[in-house]
Amino acid sequence: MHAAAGTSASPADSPAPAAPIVVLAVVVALAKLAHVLGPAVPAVVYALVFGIVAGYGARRAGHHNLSLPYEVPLTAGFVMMGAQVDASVFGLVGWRGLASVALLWVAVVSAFWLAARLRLLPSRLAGLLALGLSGCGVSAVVAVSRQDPDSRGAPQTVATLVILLSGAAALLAYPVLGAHLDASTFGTFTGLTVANNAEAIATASTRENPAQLIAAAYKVVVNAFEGLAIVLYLWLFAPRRGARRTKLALPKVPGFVIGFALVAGVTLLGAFNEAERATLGSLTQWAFFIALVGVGFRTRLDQLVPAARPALLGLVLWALTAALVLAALLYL
Amino acid sequence: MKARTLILLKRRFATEFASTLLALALIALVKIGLLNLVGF
Repeated sequence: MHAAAGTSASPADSPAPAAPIVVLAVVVALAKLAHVLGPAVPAVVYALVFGIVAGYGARRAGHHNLSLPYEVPLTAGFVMMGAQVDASVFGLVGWRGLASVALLWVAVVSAFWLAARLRLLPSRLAGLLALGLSGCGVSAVVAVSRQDPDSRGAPQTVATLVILLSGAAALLAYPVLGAHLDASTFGTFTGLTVANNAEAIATASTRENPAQLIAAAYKVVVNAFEGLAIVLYLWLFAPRRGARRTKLALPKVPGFVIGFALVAGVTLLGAFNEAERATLGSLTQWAFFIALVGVGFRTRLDQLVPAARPALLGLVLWALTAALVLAALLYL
Repeated sequence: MKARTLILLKRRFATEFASTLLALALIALVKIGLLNLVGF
């Protein structure tokens, strides 16, 4: 045994048990500091970019086995998100709004299902894109990886990238394209078709009231159905081992979905006041921020180069479904 | 193979259990108002 081996970690060395937590805490702190200094860019972008850079640095230093423990904050964040479910927003959105959410889901799932059937997209990636772009965003894409190991790595990274790019595209294009829409329709369109909460609210805030309020209400409604969307994804795209795809077996409901439903249930029963819900919302954002740093850490940009074509196709399909939703809002 | 599956299942269960406990603990801290004191 050489003395040098004890001072510098070789690729075969396993890191100290506390090392992943320390690395995660440092990268999260740096990403948060960057967001505080540059709040114009959404927090999720800082989380992903800092995670990717830290992961690249760790692998360059030979720590190939280092992975950050992001699953606990992710699942805890998902459970706490149940506190954001509010009965009043269902009233604001109304039955027409719920029908619009259903239309969006049908359009997005059909588009990506067709793309997978025509072999334009790998089926796993098509499923993740349908899940994320149905309005559930990055949190749902990250959440399903626990139950569906095949979605980890490149499919998850590409889907996350497409969702972030679609949000950036909406932030730039919607204020111009939607200049002639009234504020209410603009808020509905934004809340429905921009997958991530932060980008949806930011896009809606480019218009006068009640655009932002309505966009936020749609995001809450879609988030309330996120558990259902995840179960649907697992049923359609992650068949149980040994089960035939055509066999209609009941999907296994993940524990975090049950936790989310329970917290949503007690919230609807009035367990939390406004201040407590705001605090839990803030904690949820923190939890997803930490989880995204972990996702970025294990993202390998070299895996993304071959994915440029499917990522572009995902963006085109998202734009088409957004156009369909806009047409339905204007003419139905 | 079976032992490896068992380890993975145990790890998944432990993660899920720890996550649920963390979420419940944070919700309890919010309910008693302790997290408001640290700026949340």
